[in-house]
Amino acid sequence: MKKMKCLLALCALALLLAGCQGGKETAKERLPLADAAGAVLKDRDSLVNIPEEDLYDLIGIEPEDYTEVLYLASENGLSAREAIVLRARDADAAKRIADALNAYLGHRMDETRNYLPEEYKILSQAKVEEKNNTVALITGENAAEEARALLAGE
Amino acid sequence: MRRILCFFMLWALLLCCLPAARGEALTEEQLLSYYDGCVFVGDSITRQLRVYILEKQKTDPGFMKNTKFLVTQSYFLYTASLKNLRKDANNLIYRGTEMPLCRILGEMKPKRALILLGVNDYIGEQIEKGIGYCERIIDRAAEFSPDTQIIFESLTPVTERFCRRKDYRTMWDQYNAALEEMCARRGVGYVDIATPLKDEEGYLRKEYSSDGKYHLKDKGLQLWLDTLADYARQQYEQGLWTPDEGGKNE
Repeated sequence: MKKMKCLLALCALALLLAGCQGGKETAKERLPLADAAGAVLKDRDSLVNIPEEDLYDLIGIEPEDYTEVLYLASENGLSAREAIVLRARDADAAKRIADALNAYLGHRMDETRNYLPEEYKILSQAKVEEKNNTVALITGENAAEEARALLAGE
Repeated sequence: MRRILCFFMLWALLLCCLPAARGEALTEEQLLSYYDGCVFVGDSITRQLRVYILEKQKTDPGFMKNTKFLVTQSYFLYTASLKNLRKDANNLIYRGTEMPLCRILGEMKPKRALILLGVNDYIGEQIEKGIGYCERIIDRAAEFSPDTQIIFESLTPVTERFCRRKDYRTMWDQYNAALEEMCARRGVGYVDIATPLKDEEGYLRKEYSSDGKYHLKDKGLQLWLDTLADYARQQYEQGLWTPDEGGKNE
């Protein structure tokens, strides 16, 4: 009986370790967002990191809804250029994030419409993209290609 | 021997405390900690300051990291004075929702709110109204976040080029003077960021202007930060604040 118990415990341990190992492999498949952005965004060095708190304070995205974030903006305060990419915790969280980003994009369009027409044009061509619970809002001249390239690794 | 030792120790203690009492020993970091737990409210001009601070954080991650910004392009002083949303104009957003300034202050309860608005209202052309809007902001803030200290910043100066059609320089100077007077009367703070940015004729120096109007280049933004540090130094020297004071209101 004792031997049986030991065997069962060993099996459980082996399964647990195998599970952990599997998780690690999955995590390895995706680059950290900061690295992915470095490879895709040509102007990465001229962008500034926006504090993560702004995602909640400004856009209303709850910290519990994502596991990783990248939030960059132009160093020119009048520019529409931004890159916001989040890995959502699950599909429901991804939906909430996408909704919040769409509302934020709408706000940015409103604030530039009559004030900065060139920036408004850029914002009006932008859209929130999603793939496998990764949600991205990229605004800028090459936003569509950048979003495609960033999401390709997701 | 003991007496002599005590005497020297007292002297050493005094020497340590003296520079701090004069405010000379405070570093830029200590002075700017005055703005911890504070929020800057403004339009595109203040947005530039925010981005400049974020740029500085690239090399100094802790630089003013406890300071918040509430900015919207083309945000009006009039809009900021309202208790409800203004439907036909740009509003601030907070946690994903457009909200009036007073209600956001009520949610955030910042230690201080520094406000630079009026450019989009062309407030120099309607000084009396502008001062009325500012007083309304003070009243609303007192209602929604009574412990928040309100500080108005002067309008930035304008370039000579911007004044070719109209003498905005004089109008904005008059507005700033009226704002300073009102702040003194109401017992709220006033930071004159305009004077250090002006040339001998009172215009915004070309080397500080990013658009030939009133927006600022990095050099001008740095001067703005220096002015804010000076303001904190004055508060310290007047015994109104110490660097070890906490950030947010309880």
